[in-house]
Amino acid sequence: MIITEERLAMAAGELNEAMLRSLPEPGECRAEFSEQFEKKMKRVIRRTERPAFFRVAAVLLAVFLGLMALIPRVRAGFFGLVRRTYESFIYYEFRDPQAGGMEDARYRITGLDEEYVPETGIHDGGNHHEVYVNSAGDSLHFRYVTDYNAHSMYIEVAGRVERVSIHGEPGDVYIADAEEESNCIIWHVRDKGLMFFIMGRLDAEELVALAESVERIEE
Amino acid sequence: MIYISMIDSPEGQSKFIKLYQRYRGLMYHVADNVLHNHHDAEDAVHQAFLTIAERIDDVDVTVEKRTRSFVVTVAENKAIDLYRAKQRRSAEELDENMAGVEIEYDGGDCLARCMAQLPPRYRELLILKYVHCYSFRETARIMGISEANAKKLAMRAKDKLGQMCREEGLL
Repeated sequence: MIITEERLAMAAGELNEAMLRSLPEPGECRAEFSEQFEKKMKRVIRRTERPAFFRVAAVLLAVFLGLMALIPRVRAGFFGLVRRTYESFIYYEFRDPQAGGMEDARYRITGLDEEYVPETGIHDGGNHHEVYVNSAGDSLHFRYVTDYNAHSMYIEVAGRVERVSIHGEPGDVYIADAEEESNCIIWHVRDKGLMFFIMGRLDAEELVALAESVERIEE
Repeated sequence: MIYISMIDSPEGQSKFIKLYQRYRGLMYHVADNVLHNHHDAEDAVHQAFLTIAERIDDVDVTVEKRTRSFVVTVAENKAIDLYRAKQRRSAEELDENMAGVEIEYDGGDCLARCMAQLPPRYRELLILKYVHCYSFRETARIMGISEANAKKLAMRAKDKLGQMCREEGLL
Protein backbone atom coordinates (compact mmCIF):
# COMPACT_ATOMS: atom_id res chain seq x y z
CA MET A 1 0.00 0.00 0.00
CA ILE A 2 1.43 3.36 -0.98
CA ILE A 3 0.33 6.26 1.22
CA THR A 4 -0.86 8.81 -1.33
CA GLU A 5 -2.14 12.29 -0.50
CA GLU A 6 -5.68 11.15 -1.33
CA ARG A 7 -5.33 8.17 0.99
CA LEU A 8 -4.07 10.44 3.75
CA ALA A 9 -7.01 12.80 3.26
CA MET A 10 -9.51 9.91 3.48
CA ALA A 11 -7.91 8.54 6.62
CA ALA A 12 -7.70 12.02 8.18
CA GLY A 13 -11.45 12.40 7.57
CA GLU A 14 -12.12 9.09 9.36
CA LEU A 15 -9.81 10.11 12.18
CA ASN A 16 -11.62 13.44 12.51
CA GLU A 17 -14.99 11.67 12.85
CA ALA A 18 -13.54 9.33 15.47
CA MET A 19 -12.09 12.29 17.38
CA LEU A 20 -15.48 14.01 17.50
CA ARG A 21 -17.18 10.79 18.65
CA SER A 22 -14.60 10.45 21.45
CA LEU A 23 -15.47 13.83 22.87
CA PRO A 24 -18.56 14.95 24.80
CA GLU A 25 -21.14 17.17 23.13
CA PRO A 26 -20.42 20.90 23.59
CA GLY A 27 -23.64 21.27 25.60
CA GLU A 28 -22.48 18.60 28.06
CA CYS A 29 -19.31 20.49 28.96
CA ARG A 30 -19.87 22.83 31.87
CA ALA A 31 -16.87 24.77 33.10
CA GLU A 32 -16.55 27.44 35.76
CA PHE A 33 -14.26 30.16 34.47
CA SER A 34 -12.42 32.62 36.65
CA GLU A 35 -13.11 36.34 36.65
CA GLN A 36 -9.64 36.93 35.18
CA PHE A 37 -10.42 34.63 32.24
CA GLU A 38 -13.77 36.33 31.61
CA LYS A 39 -12.06 39.75 31.60
CA LYS A 40 -9.41 38.57 29.11
CA MET A 41 -12.09 37.09 26.88
CA LYS A 42 -14.14 40.31 27.00
CA ARG A 43 -11.11 42.07 25.49
CA VAL A 44 -10.79 39.45 22.76
CA ILE A 45 -14.50 39.69 21.97
CA ARG A 46 -14.33 43.47 21.89
CA ARG A 47 -11.47 43.30 19.40
CA THR A 48 -13.42 41.01 17.10
CA GLU A 49 -16.41 43.34 17.36
CA ARG A 50 -14.24 46.38 16.70
CA PRO A 51 -14.80 46.83 12.94
CA ALA A 52 -18.56 47.32 13.43
CA PHE A 53 -18.15 49.35 16.61
CA PHE A 54 -15.54 51.58 15.01
CA ARG A 55 -17.83 52.31 12.08
CA VAL A 56 -20.64 53.19 14.45
CA ALA A 57 -18.42 55.31 16.65
CA ALA A 58 -17.06 57.11 13.58
CA VAL A 59 -20.59 57.88 12.41
CA LEU A 60 -21.67 59.13 15.81
CA LEU A 61 -18.50 61.16 16.21
CA ALA A 62 -18.95 62.73 12.77
CA VAL A 63 -22.54 63.62 13.63
CA PHE A 64 -21.53 64.96 17.04
CA LEU A 65 -18.68 67.08 15.68
CA GLY A 66 -20.91 68.31 12.90
CA LEU A 67 -23.49 69.49 15.42
CA MET A 68 -20.80 71.08 17.54
CA ALA A 69 -19.51 73.03 14.54
CA LEU A 70 -22.98 74.51 14.06
CA ILE A 71 -23.29 75.66 17.66
CA PRO A 72 -20.20 77.79 18.46
CA ARG A 73 -21.32 78.81 21.92
CA VAL A 74 -22.04 75.24 22.97
CA ARG A 75 -18.72 74.13 21.55
CA ALA A 76 -16.74 76.76 23.43
CA GLY A 77 -18.49 75.80 26.66
CA PHE A 78 -18.02 72.07 26.16
CA PHE A 79 -14.53 72.18 24.72
CA GLY A 80 -12.71 73.98 27.51
CA LEU A 81 -10.30 71.15 26.71
CA VAL A 82 -9.04 71.50 23.15
CA ARG A 83 -8.12 68.36 21.28
CA ARG A 84 -6.04 68.52 18.12
CA THR A 85 -5.34 65.41 16.08
CA TYR A 86 -2.05 64.99 14.29
CA GLU A 87 -0.80 62.07 12.23
CA SER A 88 0.59 59.94 15.04
CA PHE A 89 -0.49 61.71 18.19
CA ILE A 90 -3.29 63.69 19.77
CA TYR A 91 -2.61 66.94 21.56
CA TYR A 92 -4.78 68.06 24.47
CA GLU A 93 -4.75 71.57 25.82
CA PHE A 94 -7.02 73.14 28.41
CA ARG A 95 -8.04 76.67 27.53
CA ASP A 96 -10.08 78.74 29.90
CA PRO A 97 -9.52 82.51 29.85
CA GLN A 98 -11.12 82.81 33.26
CA ALA A 99 -9.00 80.17 34.95
CA GLY A 100 -5.69 81.06 36.52
CA GLY A 101 -3.21 79.99 39.14
CA MET A 102 -2.59 76.55 40.50
CA GLU A 103 -4.58 74.29 42.74
CA ASP A 104 -2.38 73.16 45.57
CA ALA A 105 -3.77 69.64 45.82
CA ARG A 106 -2.85 66.01 45.27
CA TYR A 107 -5.09 63.29 43.94
CA ARG A 108 -5.12 59.52 44.18
CA ILE A 109 -6.86 56.58 42.53
CA THR A 110 -8.85 55.08 45.38
CA GLY A 111 -10.07 52.16 43.25
CA LEU A 112 -6.59 50.92 42.34
CA ASP A 113 -6.13 47.20 42.95
CA GLU A 114 -3.86 46.68 45.97
CA GLU A 115 -1.53 44.50 43.91
CA TYR A 116 -0.31 47.73 42.28
CA VAL A 117 2.44 49.30 44.40
CA PRO A 118 3.99 52.76 43.89
CA GLU A 119 7.23 52.75 41.92
CA THR A 120 7.98 56.42 41.22
CA GLY A 121 6.30 59.75 41.79
CA ILE A 122 7.17 63.15 40.33
CA HIS A 123 5.40 66.24 41.58
CA ASP A 124 6.75 69.30 39.79
CA GLY A 125 4.66 72.39 40.34
CA GLY A 126 1.29 71.63 38.83
CA ASN A 127 2.44 68.54 36.97
CA HIS A 128 2.11 65.18 38.70
CA HIS A 129 3.19 61.79 37.44
CA GLU A 130 2.94 58.58 39.48
CA VAL A 131 3.87 55.09 38.31
CA TYR A 132 2.57 51.90 39.92
CA VAL A 133 3.64 48.34 39.20
CA ASN A 134 1.97 45.00 39.92
CA SER A 135 3.49 41.57 40.55
CA ALA A 136 3.19 40.70 36.86
CA GLY A 137 5.39 43.66 35.98
CA ASP A 138 2.54 45.65 34.44
CA SER A 139 2.91 49.37 35.03
CA LEU A 140 0.14 51.88 35.50
CA HIS A 141 0.70 55.61 34.94
CA PHE A 142 -1.36 58.27 36.67
CA ARG A 143 -0.77 61.83 35.51
CA TYR A 144 -2.65 64.95 36.37
CA VAL A 145 -2.21 68.66 35.87
CA THR A 146 -3.36 71.15 38.48
CA ASP A 147 -1.66 74.24 37.06
CA TYR A 148 -4.24 76.05 34.98
CA ASN A 149 -1.44 77.58 32.94
CA ALA A 150 0.34 74.30 32.16
CA HIS A 151 -2.35 72.18 30.60
CA SER A 152 -1.17 70.12 27.69
CA MET A 153 -0.59 66.45 27.01
CA TYR A 154 0.45 64.44 24.01
CA ILE A 155 -0.91 60.97 23.46
CA GLU A 156 0.56 58.67 20.83
CA VAL A 157 -2.25 56.75 19.27
CA ALA A 158 -2.37 53.43 17.41
CA GLY A 159 -5.93 52.36 18.03
CA ARG A 160 -9.47 53.57 18.43
CA VAL A 161 -11.05 56.15 20.72
CA GLU A 162 -14.21 55.88 22.83
CA ARG A 163 -15.91 58.94 24.28
CA VAL A 164 -16.82 58.43 27.91
CA SER A 165 -18.17 60.40 30.84
CA ILE A 166 -16.46 60.56 34.21
CA HIS A 167 -18.96 61.86 36.77
CA GLY A 168 -20.52 63.93 34.01
CA GLU A 169 -17.19 65.25 32.68
CA PRO A 170 -16.14 64.39 29.11
CA GLY A 171 -13.27 62.03 28.57
CA ASP A 172 -11.59 59.92 25.88
CA VAL A 173 -10.51 56.30 26.19
CA TYR A 174 -7.89 55.11 23.73
CA ILE A 175 -7.87 51.38 23.01
CA ALA A 176 -4.67 50.15 21.36
CA ASP A 177 -4.79 47.92 18.31
CA ALA A 178 -2.43 45.38 19.82
CA GLU A 179 -3.72 43.51 22.85
CA GLU A 180 -0.37 43.61 24.57
CA GLU A 181 -0.22 47.41 24.39
CA SER A 182 -1.47 49.70 27.15
CA ASN A 183 -4.72 51.62 26.85
CA CYS A 184 -5.36 55.03 28.35
CA ILE A 185 -8.01 57.47 29.46
CA ILE A 186 -7.87 61.25 29.59
CA TRP A 187 -10.52 63.53 31.07
CA HIS A 188 -10.84 66.93 32.63
CA VAL A 189 -12.82 68.53 35.43
CA ARG A 190 -14.14 71.70 33.88
CA ASP A 191 -14.98 73.85 36.86
CA LYS A 192 -11.63 73.15 38.50
CA GLY A 193 -9.53 73.19 35.33
CA LEU A 194 -7.93 69.84 36.12
CA MET A 195 -6.73 67.32 33.55
CA PHE A 196 -6.18 63.63 34.38
CA PHE A 197 -4.61 60.74 32.52
CA ILE A 198 -4.36 57.03 33.38
CA MET A 199 -2.54 54.47 31.25
CA GLY A 200 -2.20 50.73 31.82
CA ARG A 201 -2.95 47.24 30.55
CA LEU A 202 -6.62 47.59 31.32
CA ASP A 203 -9.76 47.62 29.25
CA ALA A 204 -12.05 50.62 28.78
CA GLU A 205 -14.41 49.58 31.56
CA GLU A 206 -11.56 49.21 34.05
CA LEU A 207 -10.06 52.55 33.03
CA VAL A 208 -13.38 54.32 33.48
CA ALA A 209 -13.83 52.69 36.90
CA LEU A 210 -10.38 53.86 37.98
CA ALA A 211 -11.04 57.36 36.64
CA GLU A 212 -14.28 57.54 38.58
CA SER A 213 -12.46 56.54 41.76
CA VAL A 214 -9.96 59.43 41.60
CA GLU A 215 -10.30 61.63 44.69
CA ARG A 216 -8.54 64.63 46.09
CA ILE A 217 -6.26 63.85 49.03
CA GLU A 218 -7.41 65.91 51.96
CA GLU A 219 -4.42 67.10 54.01
CA MET B 1 -27.18 55.15 20.68
CA ILE B 2 -30.06 53.16 19.20
CA TYR B 3 -27.69 51.83 16.53
CA ILE B 4 -25.26 50.62 19.20
CA SER B 5 -28.08 48.81 21.01
CA MET B 6 -28.90 46.91 17.84
CA ILE B 7 -25.35 45.60 17.66
CA ASP B 8 -25.66 44.36 21.21
CA SER B 9 -28.94 42.53 20.57
CA PRO B 10 -28.98 38.71 20.19
CA GLU B 11 -29.77 39.11 16.50
CA GLY B 12 -26.64 41.14 16.02
CA GLN B 13 -24.36 38.80 17.97
CA SER B 14 -21.23 38.02 16.08
CA LYS B 15 -20.07 34.65 14.84
CA PHE B 16 -17.24 34.78 17.34
CA ILE B 17 -19.47 35.30 20.35
CA LYS B 18 -21.70 32.38 19.28
CA LEU B 19 -18.63 30.23 18.82
CA TYR B 20 -17.25 31.29 22.19
CA GLN B 21 -20.49 30.58 24.04
CA ARG B 22 -21.03 27.21 22.38
CA TYR B 23 -17.54 25.72 22.48
CA ARG B 24 -15.65 27.21 25.40
CA GLY B 25 -16.70 24.39 27.72
CA LEU B 26 -15.60 21.72 25.25
CA MET B 27 -12.30 23.50 24.60
CA TYR B 28 -11.70 23.72 28.33
CA HIS B 29 -12.43 19.98 28.62
CA VAL B 30 -9.79 19.24 25.95
CA ALA B 31 -7.20 21.59 27.45
CA ASP B 32 -7.75 20.31 30.98
CA ASN B 33 -7.26 16.72 29.81
CA VAL B 34 -3.80 17.70 28.59
CA LEU B 35 -2.76 20.09 31.34
CA HIS B 36 -4.65 18.85 34.44
CA ASN B 37 -4.55 22.36 35.84
CA HIS B 38 -7.51 24.77 35.88
CA HIS B 39 -5.49 27.97 35.49
CA ASP B 40 -3.33 26.54 32.70
CA ALA B 41 -6.35 25.14 30.92
CA GLU B 42 -7.95 28.61 31.00
CA ASP B 43 -4.75 30.09 29.55
CA ALA B 44 -4.76 27.52 26.77
CA VAL B 45 -8.43 28.21 25.97
CA HIS B 46 -7.71 31.95 25.88
CA GLN B 47 -4.78 31.38 23.49
CA ALA B 48 -6.97 29.13 21.37
CA PHE B 49 -9.63 31.82 21.05
CA LEU B 50 -6.99 34.37 20.05
CA THR B 51 -5.98 32.03 17.22
CA ILE B 52 -9.58 31.38 16.24
CA ALA B 53 -10.32 35.11 16.21
CA GLU B 54 -7.59 35.56 13.58
CA ARG B 55 -9.25 33.00 11.36
CA ILE B 56 -12.87 33.76 12.18
CA ASP B 57 -13.69 34.59 8.56
CA ASP B 58 -12.80 31.00 7.60
CA VAL B 59 -15.19 29.50 10.15
CA ASP B 60 -18.67 28.56 9.02
CA VAL B 61 -20.54 28.05 12.28
CA THR B 62 -23.46 26.48 10.42
CA VAL B 63 -21.29 23.45 9.64
CA GLU B 64 -21.22 22.23 13.21
CA LYS B 65 -18.92 19.19 12.92
CA ARG B 66 -16.31 21.10 10.99
CA THR B 67 -16.36 23.97 13.48
CA ARG B 68 -16.19 21.59 16.41
CA SER B 69 -13.23 19.78 14.86
CA PHE B 70 -11.42 23.07 14.30
CA VAL B 71 -11.89 24.47 17.80
CA VAL B 72 -10.95 21.16 19.44
CA THR B 73 -7.80 20.87 17.33
CA VAL B 74 -6.74 24.42 18.14
CA ALA B 75 -7.49 23.98 21.85
CA GLU B 76 -5.46 20.76 22.01
CA ASN B 77 -2.62 22.43 20.14
CA LYS B 78 -2.46 25.41 22.51
CA ALA B 79 -2.69 23.14 25.56
CA ILE B 80 0.25 21.11 24.32
CA ASP B 81 2.20 24.29 23.54
CA LEU B 82 1.67 25.46 27.10
CA TYR B 83 2.69 22.09 28.46
CA ARG B 84 5.88 22.15 26.39
CA ALA B 85 6.70 25.67 27.53
CA LYS B 86 6.36 24.62 31.15
CA GLN B 87 8.26 21.36 30.79
CA ARG B 88 11.26 22.79 28.93
CA ARG B 89 12.00 19.42 27.40
CA SER B 90 13.06 18.98 23.79
CA ALA B 91 10.27 19.59 21.31
CA GLU B 92 10.82 16.33 19.48
CA GLU B 93 10.84 14.30 22.69
CA LEU B 94 7.55 15.85 23.74
CA ASP B 95 6.04 15.49 20.28
CA GLU B 96 6.53 11.74 20.59
CA ASN B 97 5.35 11.31 24.16
CA MET B 98 2.59 13.86 24.76
CA ALA B 99 -0.93 12.61 25.32
CA GLY B 100 -3.79 14.62 23.89
CA VAL B 101 -7.41 13.79 23.13
CA GLU B 102 -7.87 10.03 23.47
CA ILE B 103 -9.34 8.77 20.24
CA GLU B 104 -11.05 5.42 19.97
CA TYR B 105 -11.20 4.27 16.37
CA ASP B 106 -13.06 1.06 15.63
CA GLY B 107 -13.66 1.59 11.92
CA GLY B 108 -12.29 -0.39 9.01
CA ASP B 109 -9.72 2.10 7.74
CA CYS B 110 -6.31 0.73 8.80
CA LEU B 111 -4.51 3.97 8.03
CA ALA B 112 -7.02 5.91 10.13
CA ARG B 113 -6.44 3.40 12.96
CA CYS B 114 -2.69 4.11 12.78
CA MET B 115 -3.35 7.87 12.65
CA ALA B 116 -5.38 7.62 15.85
CA GLN B 117 -2.29 6.30 17.59
CA LEU B 118 -0.05 9.12 16.39
CA PRO B 119 1.18 11.72 18.91
CA PRO B 120 -1.33 14.59 19.07
CA ARG B 121 0.79 17.24 17.28
CA TYR B 122 1.10 15.01 14.21
CA ARG B 123 -2.65 14.39 14.31
CA GLU B 124 -3.40 18.12 14.63
CA LEU B 125 -1.31 18.91 11.58
CA LEU B 126 -2.92 16.15 9.52
CA ILE B 127 -6.43 17.28 10.51
CA LEU B 128 -5.72 20.96 9.78
CA LYS B 129 -4.07 20.09 6.47
CA TYR B 130 -6.29 17.33 5.13
CA VAL B 131 -9.67 17.89 6.79
CA HIS B 132 -9.72 21.69 6.99
CA CYS B 133 -7.59 22.06 3.86
CA TYR B 134 -5.28 24.71 5.25
CA SER B 135 -2.01 25.26 3.42
CA PHE B 136 1.26 24.54 5.23
CA ARG B 137 1.64 28.26 5.77
CA GLU B 138 -1.83 28.63 7.33
CA THR B 139 -1.43 25.42 9.34
CA ALA B 140 1.89 26.70 10.67
CA ARG B 141 0.30 29.96 11.70
CA ILE B 142 -2.52 28.20 13.55
CA MET B 143 -0.08 25.87 15.31
CA GLY B 144 2.28 28.73 16.14
CA ILE B 145 5.24 27.27 14.31
CA SER B 146 7.20 28.21 11.22
CA GLU B 147 6.18 26.92 7.82
CA ALA B 148 9.45 25.00 7.64
CA ASN B 149 8.70 23.27 10.94
CA ALA B 150 5.16 22.47 9.80
CA LYS B 151 6.57 20.71 6.74
CA LYS B 152 9.11 18.87 8.91
CA LEU B 153 6.32 17.80 11.26
CA ALA B 154 4.30 16.54 8.28
CA MET B 155 7.28 14.51 7.06
CA ARG B 156 7.81 13.00 10.52
CA ALA B 157 4.09 12.19 10.73
CA LYS B 158 4.20 10.39 7.38
CA ASP B 159 7.40 8.53 8.33
CA LYS B 160 5.80 7.46 11.59
CA LEU B 161 2.65 6.36 9.77
CA GLY B 162 4.77 4.40 7.28
CA GLN B 163 6.57 2.67 10.15
CA MET B 164 3.29 1.81 11.90
CA CYS B 165 1.78 0.48 8.68
CA ARG B 166 4.84 -1.72 8.08
CA GLU B 167 4.60 -3.12 11.61
CA GLU B 168 0.94 -3.95 10.99
CA GLY B 169 1.85 -5.62 7.73
CA LEU B 170 -0.03 -3.04 5.68
CA LEU B 171 2.98 -1.96 3.64
